[in-house]
Amino acid sequence: MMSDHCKTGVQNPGGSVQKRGASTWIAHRVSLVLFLGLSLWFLNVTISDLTSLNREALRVWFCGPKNAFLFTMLISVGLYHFWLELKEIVEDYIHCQHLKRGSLIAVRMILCGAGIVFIYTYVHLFINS
Amino acid sequence: MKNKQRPLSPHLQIYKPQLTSSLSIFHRFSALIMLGGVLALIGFFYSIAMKSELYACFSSAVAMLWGKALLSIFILFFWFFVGTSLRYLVWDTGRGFELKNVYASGFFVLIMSVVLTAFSVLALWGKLA
Repeated sequence: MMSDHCKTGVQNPGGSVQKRGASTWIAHRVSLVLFLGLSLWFLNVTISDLTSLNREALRVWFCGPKNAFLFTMLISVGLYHFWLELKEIVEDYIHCQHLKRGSLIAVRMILCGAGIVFIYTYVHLFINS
Repeated sequence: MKNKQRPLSPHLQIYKPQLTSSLSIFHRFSALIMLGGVLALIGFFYSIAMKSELYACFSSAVAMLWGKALLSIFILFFWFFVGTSLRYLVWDTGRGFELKNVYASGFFVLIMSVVLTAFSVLALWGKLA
């Protein structure tokens, strides 16, 4: 009988990779291209605008419709893309099945938590501005 | 089974370090740093909208040398991530796989990430000072 230690994602019939390989590959590339564009936009506005603003001015800046839309896109695309990246790393390097499943659940919970904090913060900001 | 302790792919421990493998490993590492950056950005955004004490921590950190150094290292990893990601996107089209081109694009990514980091950091430090 083969020990858990020997099993890889390929031998695991419940693994996600071989079930949704092509769509994951496309989602990874599309989110990567979006993330690159949005992060370059954010680096640019950080250097040109954000560094000279105080906290009150920053609140106003983040409430602007264009900035709010692009920043929300940046965070959601970023969380989604790096969830896919991290999943790939966990699936490649953690060989124990239980630890692999546990890590994937933990990572998903942390990223979902971060997303919830982000949404809550924006709602709070919009209501109080 | 006798051979259950054999190393599982991707064989990091028996791989001779070279530019190609190092860039691959550091690309994954930079993806983890980018995820950290997205989470830090959510934290910064939260501090702007909700917690003035946390915002004071962020703004005093970037005013100090270690904060600037940390930000500069993050920007270096950012440009490295942008470069290697674009390299992977080119590879996705089936181009650039000749050994000579793989090394050339690898060196190009390294040099460009250092140059772009220098430009961004100088621009950012000029604003933060």
